Amino acid sequence: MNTTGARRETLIQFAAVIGFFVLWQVGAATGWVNRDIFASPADLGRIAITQLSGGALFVHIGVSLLRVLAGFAIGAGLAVFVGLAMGSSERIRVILNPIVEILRPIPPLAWIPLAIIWFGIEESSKVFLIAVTAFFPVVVNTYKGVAGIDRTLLRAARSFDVPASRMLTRVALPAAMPDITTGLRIGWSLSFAVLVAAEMIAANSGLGFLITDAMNQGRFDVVVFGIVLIGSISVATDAIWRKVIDRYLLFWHRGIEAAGG
Amino acid sequence: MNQAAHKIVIDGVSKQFIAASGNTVEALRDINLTIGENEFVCVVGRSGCGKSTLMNMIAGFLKPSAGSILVDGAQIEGPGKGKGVVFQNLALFPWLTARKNIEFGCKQQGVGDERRARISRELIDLVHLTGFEDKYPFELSGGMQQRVAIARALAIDPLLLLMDEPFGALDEQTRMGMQNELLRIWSSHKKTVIFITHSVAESIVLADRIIVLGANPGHLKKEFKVSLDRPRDRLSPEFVELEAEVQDALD
Repeated sequence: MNTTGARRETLIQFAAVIGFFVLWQVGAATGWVNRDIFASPADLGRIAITQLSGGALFVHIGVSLLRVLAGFAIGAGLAVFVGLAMGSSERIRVILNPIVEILRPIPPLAWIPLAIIWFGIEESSKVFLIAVTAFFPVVVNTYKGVAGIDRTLLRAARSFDVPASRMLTRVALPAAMPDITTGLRIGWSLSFAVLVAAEMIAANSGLGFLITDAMNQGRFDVVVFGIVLIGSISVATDAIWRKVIDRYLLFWHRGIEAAGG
Repeated sequence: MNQAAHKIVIDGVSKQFIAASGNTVEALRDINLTIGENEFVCVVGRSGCGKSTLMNMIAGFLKPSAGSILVDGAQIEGPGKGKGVVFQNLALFPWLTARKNIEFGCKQQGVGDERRARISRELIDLVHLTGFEDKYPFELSGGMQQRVAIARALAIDPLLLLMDEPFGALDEQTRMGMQNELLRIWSSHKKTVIFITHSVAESIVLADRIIVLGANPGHLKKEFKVSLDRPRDRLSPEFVELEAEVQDALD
């Protein structure tokens, strides 16, 4: 896409979001939307100011992000490693593939009871849950990426005497990077969604807890605020991911959109 | 003839594959061929005649089912060790710039930074890529990618250069330009070249000698020595006559 086209698209997207909030505000002001159970944007603005001035909000956001980062780093890191092994060794693939395929379709939330039994209700159970969530999309995409590397690329590397022990890091890893980054982005957004759900079930801090806590206090406006906040943070972190990927991992590529991301 | 004078000696080479159906497919039968030092040999044949199989065996990617291939008197053990290859689909490393692609082989061999930079600078100059050396492959035109691939293979100062239909995907105009480029490069960096193509005209423009392969199974059909002076005029009577002869041998 050319720059003017991209800028046009960004403008339209901004206008759409603003238009949505304006409609919502108008609906609330005219009484078409019941403000008791669904706060208006203006209400959210007021809540944001009180929440931000209290400082507790930063703790909730920070705690949630730290949990996702820790779990994601463990799960995705392990997944890249396992995926590379599966993609480059037929024997490892044959052994691990059935196990991955059995565990993969299990909704991550089904692990919550076990996570609590194994790790208690402290941080480690949440980190475990995120690690499990992030693992599968990353392992599958990494494995597919490595298995799908053009054979002549590997032959070219061999014709330049790349030793077998270095093939993985010098050729397979960069060649599979477009697929790996796709897996990372999917893994990240899933991790974030699962974390909020987990925090709603068993936690005393974090964005999920913010929502359940507000619900228990009958503060439905804060519930709506929490929902909008979670959406915004998810969008923002994905945007950061894209920038990081485009700049550091796929700088040699046509860009993340062309990679099917 | 004295065996030591030959760069490559292909002796009674056959190759069979097991097809997906379980049947054995005979790709090549009893190939005997010698190639001299700095000779430019084109292998011509229809698709399915085993010309790429032959190249892959010389490159060390495949092992002959029978017979032997010697390079400088030694049996081929595997790929690498100075056998430069230019692939049909180029197989440039997309995550490396043109310069880094060209330096890739030297880096694997542990050539020092300074020497590596000098080699790539010379080659970038030779293949006319100055100004594009820091571009990634996707930013380059087909002809430029082609030149990166050739420079990358030359950078390791290979014993021999194997080229598998490298210009097949180019339009006719670019292709003729690349043929001239290749001859210019070859005249300044003398190498033994084995060039696979299905274009008769291309083989006559380039080769010292043309090997025609027949199909089912792939076998040596005929050889032509091309003694026309380079650059060769595609419209000269000698060229046209030879073209008809080679075409005849192909059919």
